[in-house]
Amino acid sequence: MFSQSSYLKRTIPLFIQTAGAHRKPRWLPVAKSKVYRIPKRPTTSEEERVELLRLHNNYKTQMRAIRRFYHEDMIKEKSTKDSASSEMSQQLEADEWARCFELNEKWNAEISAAREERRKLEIAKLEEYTLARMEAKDKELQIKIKKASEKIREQKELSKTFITPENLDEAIDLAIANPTDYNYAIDMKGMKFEGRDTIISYPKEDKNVAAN
Amino acid sequence: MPTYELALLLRNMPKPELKTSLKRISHAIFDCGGIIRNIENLGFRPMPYKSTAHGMTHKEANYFIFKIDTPTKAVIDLKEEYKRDVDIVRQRFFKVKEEERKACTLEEELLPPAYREDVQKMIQIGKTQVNRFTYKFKYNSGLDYYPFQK
Repeated sequence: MFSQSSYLKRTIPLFIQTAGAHRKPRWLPVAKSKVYRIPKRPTTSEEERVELLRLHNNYKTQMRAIRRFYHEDMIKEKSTKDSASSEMSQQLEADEWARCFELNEKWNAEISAAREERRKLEIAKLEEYTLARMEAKDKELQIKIKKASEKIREQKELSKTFITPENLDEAIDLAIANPTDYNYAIDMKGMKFEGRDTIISYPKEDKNVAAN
Repeated sequence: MPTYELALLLRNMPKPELKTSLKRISHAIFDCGGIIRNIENLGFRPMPYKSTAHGMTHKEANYFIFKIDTPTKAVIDLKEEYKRDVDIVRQRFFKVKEEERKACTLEEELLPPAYREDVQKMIQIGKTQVNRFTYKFKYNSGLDYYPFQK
C-alpha cells in the first residue's frame, strides 16, 4: 500500500497514537530505566504440573483409542466390499440397470409423442401463417399491377397530345401566339380574376350592392 | 422516365429566331430519347434583376416552360448543352411531383374546440386518468398512517 520512500518523506510524526495499540515499535531500543531489569520467570507449582500432565495424558490416550477404532472399522468395511463383487451383487446391479433403462425408455416415448404432437401443431400454424402472408403479398402485387396498368392507360391516352418532331412547328407557333398566365386575384366575395393585367370590372348589380 | 419541368429564360430576339432556338431546344430533348408533353409560353417579361449570360446583360427575357419526360441520366447532358446555348439566359430542371388529392377539412378545423373530434377524444382520455393537481388522498383507506411523503 505504502512504499518505503513515502514513509521516509513524510513530515508528520512517525508515531501516531491510536486507541487500542499502546505498544512502542519493534525498532526502538529498551528504555534506559529498564535496561537492567530482569523479568521474573513464571513458576508453576509441582502439584499443578503433575495434574496438567495427567489430564494431558488422559486426553491423548482417549483420542488415540477413538482414532484407532474408526480406522479399523474403515479397513473392515473395505475388505467386505471387495469380497462383495460376487455373482449375487452383479445380478442385483444388472437388475437395477434394466429397471432404470426401462423407465428411461418409457419416459423417452412419452416425451417423443408429446413432441410429435407439438410439432404437428407448430407446422400447421406455420403453414397457415405462410399462406396468409403469401395471399397478402399476392393481393398487394395485384393492387400494384392494377395501379400500374391504370397509369399506363392514362399515359397512353395522354400520349396523343404529346409533341412530336412532326407537329413541333405548330406547337411552337401555338405557344408563342398564346402566352399563359397563372396569376390571379381573389376579392372578398371569393371571385377569381385570372391574369396579371386584367382590368377588374363588376357587373352593374354588384356595384349597387357595394355602394349600399 | 420521370417527368421534369424545364424552365427557360430566352434572350430578347425576333420571333423567327425565337422559333428556331425553341426548335433547337426541343430537338435536343428528342435526341436524348425524351418526350415533350407540352410547351408553355409565359410571355416576354422583365426579369426580377439584371443578369448576365454569354457576355451580354439582360433585363428582359422570354419565359418558357417545357413539360418533358427524359431519362434521368440525360438531364445532365441537356443542362450542359443548354448552358452552352447562347440564346438561353437561365435554365432550371424541376422534378414534377405527383399531385396529392386530399379532401378539404377546413370546415371541421374551424369548429369550436369542444366540437372537434380530436379534442373530444382527448377529453375522453383525460376522464380515465387521475388529475394529480386536484387529487386528494382519503384518510379512510384503512391505513393508520399517511403512505406518501407530506
